[in-house]
Amino acid sequence: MRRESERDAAYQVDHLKFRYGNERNGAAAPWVLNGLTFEIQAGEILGVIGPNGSGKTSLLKLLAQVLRPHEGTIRLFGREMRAMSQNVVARSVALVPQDTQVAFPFSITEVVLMGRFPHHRHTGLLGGFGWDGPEDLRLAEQAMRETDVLQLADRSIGDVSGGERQRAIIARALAQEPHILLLDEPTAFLDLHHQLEIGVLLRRLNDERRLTVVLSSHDLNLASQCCDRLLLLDKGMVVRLGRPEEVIRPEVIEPVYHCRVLVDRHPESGMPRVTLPSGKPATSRQ
Amino acid sequence: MAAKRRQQGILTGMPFMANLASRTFVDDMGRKVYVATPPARVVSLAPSVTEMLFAIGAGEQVVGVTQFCDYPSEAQTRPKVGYARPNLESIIALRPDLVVASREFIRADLLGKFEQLKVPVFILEARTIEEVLSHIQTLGRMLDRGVTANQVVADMRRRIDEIKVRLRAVPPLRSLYVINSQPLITVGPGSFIHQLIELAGGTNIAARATAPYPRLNMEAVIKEDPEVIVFPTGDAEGIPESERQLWQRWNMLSAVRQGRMHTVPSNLLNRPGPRIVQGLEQLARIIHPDVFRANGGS
Amino acid sequence: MSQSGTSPTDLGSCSSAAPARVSWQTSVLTSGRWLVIILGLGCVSLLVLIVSLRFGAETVGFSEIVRILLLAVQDERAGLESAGAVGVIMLQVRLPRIFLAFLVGGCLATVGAGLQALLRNPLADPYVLGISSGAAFGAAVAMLLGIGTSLFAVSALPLCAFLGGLLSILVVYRITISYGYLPVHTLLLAGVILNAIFSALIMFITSMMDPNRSFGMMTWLMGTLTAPDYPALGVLALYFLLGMLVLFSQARSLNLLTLGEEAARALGVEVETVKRTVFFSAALLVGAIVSVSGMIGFIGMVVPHAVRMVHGPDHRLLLPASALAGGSFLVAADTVARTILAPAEIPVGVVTALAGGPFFIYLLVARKGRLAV
Repeated sequence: MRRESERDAAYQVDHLKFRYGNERNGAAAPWVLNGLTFEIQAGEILGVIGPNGSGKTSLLKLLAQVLRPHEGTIRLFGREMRAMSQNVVARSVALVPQDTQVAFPFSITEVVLMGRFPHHRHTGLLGGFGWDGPEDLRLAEQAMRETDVLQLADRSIGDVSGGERQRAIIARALAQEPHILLLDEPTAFLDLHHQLEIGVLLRRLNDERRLTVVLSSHDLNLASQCCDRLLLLDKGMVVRLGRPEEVIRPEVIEPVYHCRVLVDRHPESGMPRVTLPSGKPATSRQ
Repeated sequence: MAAKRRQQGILTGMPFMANLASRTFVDDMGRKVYVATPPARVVSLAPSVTEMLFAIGAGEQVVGVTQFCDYPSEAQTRPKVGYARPNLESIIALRPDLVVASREFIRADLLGKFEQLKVPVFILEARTIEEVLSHIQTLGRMLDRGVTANQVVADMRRRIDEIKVRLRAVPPLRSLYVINSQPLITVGPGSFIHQLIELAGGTNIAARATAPYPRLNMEAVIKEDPEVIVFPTGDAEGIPESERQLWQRWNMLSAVRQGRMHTVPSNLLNRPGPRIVQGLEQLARIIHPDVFRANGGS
Repeated sequence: MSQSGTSPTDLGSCSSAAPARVSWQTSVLTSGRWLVIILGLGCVSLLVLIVSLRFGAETVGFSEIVRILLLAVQDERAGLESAGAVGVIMLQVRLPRIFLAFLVGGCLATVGAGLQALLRNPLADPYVLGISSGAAFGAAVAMLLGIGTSLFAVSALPLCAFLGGLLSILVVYRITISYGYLPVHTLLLAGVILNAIFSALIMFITSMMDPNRSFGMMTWLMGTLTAPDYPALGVLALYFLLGMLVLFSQARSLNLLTLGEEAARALGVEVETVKRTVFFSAALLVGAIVSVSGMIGFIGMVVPHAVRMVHGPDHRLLLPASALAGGSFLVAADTVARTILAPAEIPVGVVTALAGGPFFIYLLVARKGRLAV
């Protein structure tokens, strides 16, 4: 469904199809994303939920142009992504992947500063050098402060815990000064207070600067709390896109996750809350 | 005396059998090899050995040679058994009474196998010209060709002495023998080629090296300034003629300036056998052409 | 898509006057620090070069060295004649050889660092892609066929080796490239396979050759630095410097690439272009190196590793620093190789391993911090 004012759409996804493997084996590989059509509005927080294999991670990678679609189009602020170079995309879109490979002992600061790469000139032989200026350092410091990793600034990225590393990667994404922030399972390694902090941070950035956030999560409750809208995927197709109240309902959730769920309301926020049944025979139902 | 093949084996600690002592030969590895009767079937595992066997008139007894045994031409008709990696099966199939090999290329495991199969193996290692001559005589005694062998050796000695005489008053020339150009490999005092050079009236500029085939620093060559450069050439065993061209660059060397860069058939020099005298004569002619011009030499 | 105005993540500059260097910034590479380290290494290199001029078949005093160099620069024929053999040794043998050693060592280290980043593996070395064994195979074939000179009195051996290297590059590329992508693990496998195949072929050639000839070949393969003449040196210098500059230009992208290809792509790196650039420049450099000097081991893997341990993994510093360190190291090793048993010399690869090994162990023990993660 296309909106009138296209300027409000951060992303317009149209009949998007994607699968792994190349054309030769393509006939055998199943579609990971099988004809997605939806819009993400600028300035909203969208949660992408769904069971394993539903295509959440692939969708995020496609939105960051880390992967390229086989069929269909994605428009970023109205322009077709296919026509955009990697660098141009990176100036608007930042991706926080689920995990990070660590081969060499870069410090946290160096990793966060890598987020400034899209904004440097890359022309000619010397383009490869690109020293970080005071503005870069300021943005990096700010990002590290916001994700509470500033005290780890000089530690090697391989030496810190999984959660600290994840927060450093988030800082890197923030240093990129993106308009859109994509996060793949951002709270997977974080302990409770950091989960809360990240949630608060994302809300704040979204409020103050219209930062569009798209995050994927296994945690339905987190998604329900944080997000303006939820996109429920199953087997690469859209099941429902709407506000949490519209999506987190037993009749919607149960066929997708193949299990019975209990849905009530969060005592403080009033947002839908999912609880798993106790596992005892059906007589325990209220 | 029906000496079965079994008796032709390695003696271990039987010194009291005096009548066997004359048929016991000690090779260059110190191994005692007992040869009851002159062997009728001999396998040669080195071109130098093949040449020696044919030179002492035992060509008929040679039943197996290496693929590089090209002299005399008769040798090429014999079955080939390999060189650096001899084929054990082919050798055994030839039912040899004796195998003669060079120490450079005999592998310990092969030797062990021969000993286990009771095939007599005789190892030769020639570091000096004297040793080459004595090898010829030893083979002569082993194959009952002592008379011919002694004649061959006597002839060789005569020719060597002749060269010595002619060069007695002649000052030696500084010489460089190039086995390989890149990297530069030459001969040192451990090699009998070095001895040949010195006998031929040359002073090997690598005489201070310790290894028999040292890699030489170009700086040393410039410092020593050879007057003659010798390139051993030949199909398989020598360097290509065109390698000489590389040396034109070093035109500060006396040898290059005066055009004293010569080739010599490598087979005459790097096979420790009867033809080293020919090699010596060619070397002498190359290094001191004026001394040998009058007489054609042999 | 650029939007003017403040960025979404800017919370306002509360800490307005940012101090010049705060403690948390100590690990960041600045142009100042870069300059200091590179100049420092440059000075060390120069020192090593000068000292190496002294040693060889004959030790030459510094005053003599200076005199000869001045004569050469002023093109004083008469003066050079009087300098005699020493002059020739200095100018025709020692000086070009030292330059060659510096170039080869520098290239090996730079290529090693580049490949370690490309393959995301601190244990990679320049010979892992299979190009070196292709070049060695080319050389072996040339030696088997007895190809000596070619046109312009230039030895055909390096040319044949280089052709062998080119062949390997084509084969490895062809095996690996898949729908426009260059998957790194396939690259590694292709290299391993090619190494195995060419090594087997070389062994076969060796067994076929007369042992007197194969000795020459084995020695060449062990690593040889023969003094080139100045035109050849000029060509080589140009080629090597160009290749190294191309690698230097990829420094920042390589930093990002080590975090994973997808992360790098998300940060705006044209990953496939970078991989292709690094692969081809590294491969062409290695092919030329092996063609000229056989296989000198140890430098390509250990020098970048050591530099990384001391100066950190940022490739903007790592690549040029490795070049300088690798060049100096090979010059020093070659000086030992050609001096210690004069007039004979030992293969330089022996010296690099024997000298470098213990030094590397020392580094490992002394600085356990920044090795690997």
